[in-house]
Amino acid sequence: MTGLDHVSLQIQKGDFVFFVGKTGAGKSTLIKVLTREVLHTGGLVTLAGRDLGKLKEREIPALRREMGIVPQDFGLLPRKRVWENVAYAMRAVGHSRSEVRLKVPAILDSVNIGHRADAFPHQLSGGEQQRVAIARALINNPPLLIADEPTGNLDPERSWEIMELLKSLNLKGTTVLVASHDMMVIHRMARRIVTLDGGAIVSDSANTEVELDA
Amino acid sequence: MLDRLSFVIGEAMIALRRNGFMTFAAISTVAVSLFLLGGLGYSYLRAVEYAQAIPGKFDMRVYLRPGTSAAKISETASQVRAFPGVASVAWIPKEKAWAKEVKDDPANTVGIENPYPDAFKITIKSLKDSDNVADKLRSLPVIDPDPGVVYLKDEQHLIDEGLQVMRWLGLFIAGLLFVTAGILIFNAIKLTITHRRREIRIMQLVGASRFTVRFPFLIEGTVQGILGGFIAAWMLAGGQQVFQKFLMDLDARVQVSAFPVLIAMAILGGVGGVYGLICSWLAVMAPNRSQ
Repeated sequence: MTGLDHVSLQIQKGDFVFFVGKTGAGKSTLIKVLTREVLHTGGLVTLAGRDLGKLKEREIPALRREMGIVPQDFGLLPRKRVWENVAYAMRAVGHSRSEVRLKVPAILDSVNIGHRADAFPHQLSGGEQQRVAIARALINNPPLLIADEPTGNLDPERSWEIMELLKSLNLKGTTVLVASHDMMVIHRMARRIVTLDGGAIVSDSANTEVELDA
Repeated sequence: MLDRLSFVIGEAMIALRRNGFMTFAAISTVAVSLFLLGGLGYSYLRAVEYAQAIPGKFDMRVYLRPGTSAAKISETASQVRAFPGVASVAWIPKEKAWAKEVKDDPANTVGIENPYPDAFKITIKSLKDSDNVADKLRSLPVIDPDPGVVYLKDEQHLIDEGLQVMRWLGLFIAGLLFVTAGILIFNAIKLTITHRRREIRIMQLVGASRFTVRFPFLIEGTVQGILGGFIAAWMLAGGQQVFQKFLMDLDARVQVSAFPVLIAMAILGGVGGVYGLICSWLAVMAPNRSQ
């Protein structure tokens, strides 16, 4: 079974790239390859000059700390409040209690969800839950943010808010990679669009040289 | 480091609390298996101790043929001392034996000629040597074929067989329970992994180290094992008290020494903890693993 076939792609630091395509086109697989949730069986995948194929199991956590990952389903802990969801992730990567106390409000404010810090996930709207997921992805202050269908469960207005948020992060220097099929929002964003189909790039709005095989 | 440790321990405690029934099942099975293992082990050691304290249990009386010369007796004694398993050899001259008999029972010894032959009192080192030593002694030409070698053969065999049954039965039952306890700890950890898959996923997404992800499960298994061991030690202490009271009610003159609760807790807690750690490690490393 082929997950992704012959993708070749180069992304520069500070880029904002959308991966678009039908279900099964390979968007999520490409993201999983970049986050090393799956190991590619052929080709070359490099991230900041590092060959992900040669990465050892024990080196994966360090790789993940250099990126923020926003999963499609938000991945929030239902029994924890908003601030606890972010604090939990921070504690898991070794931040002290005092650091957590200091940084969590700032992170929540940076994604405009500070006012809902004491709410539980089920008390939040889809857009608010997505903001919490993005806040959690920012705990390591990553230079790269990867989001898989971040607007998949949102109405157009909330989708646009999330995109504005990602755009603001990108303007601050964060490289943003987004897998999405929300074409209306994507075109409105006017950023680089890589269209995948059957594991191949069928179009790239930046017309970039291809270098990534997975 | 302390912060990370407190997070990891906190995660383990949450898992122990949430997974209450499996935790209870694992701890109680570890406790029962270690109770049996520890109890039987302790009883076995006490039985061995008791068996070794039976007076004359290690003694053999060996009678020589009438008319054996003093030189031959001395030579045979040296020869017997060299037998494996022989601790000491003492010559009992027939005159000395008869003098003692006359002294002990003067009424029945009046006018009787000394019927005793010369003899050796041989002390063996261990119960299991007795038959071998007896066979070797019987093969010596100076040993009288009748009565020859006299020792508490049947009693020794009874004690030996009793200890053997105790050893194997104990090992079998406790071993079976020990394996069951291991499976329960394994399952408890697997269940925790399933229950906490969201947390595990988040930890992995944000780049938590393998130590942070896996260590709570190892702590959980170890705590289950240690608690099981402690409970087993308390059960043994309780069992010993009941046994002691039973002996007192019987007015038996058997002295039962105090049960070393702290030592038992250290040993059984240690064994349980190591076992819990191994089982939880296997659960974490098994397929469908956490990372």
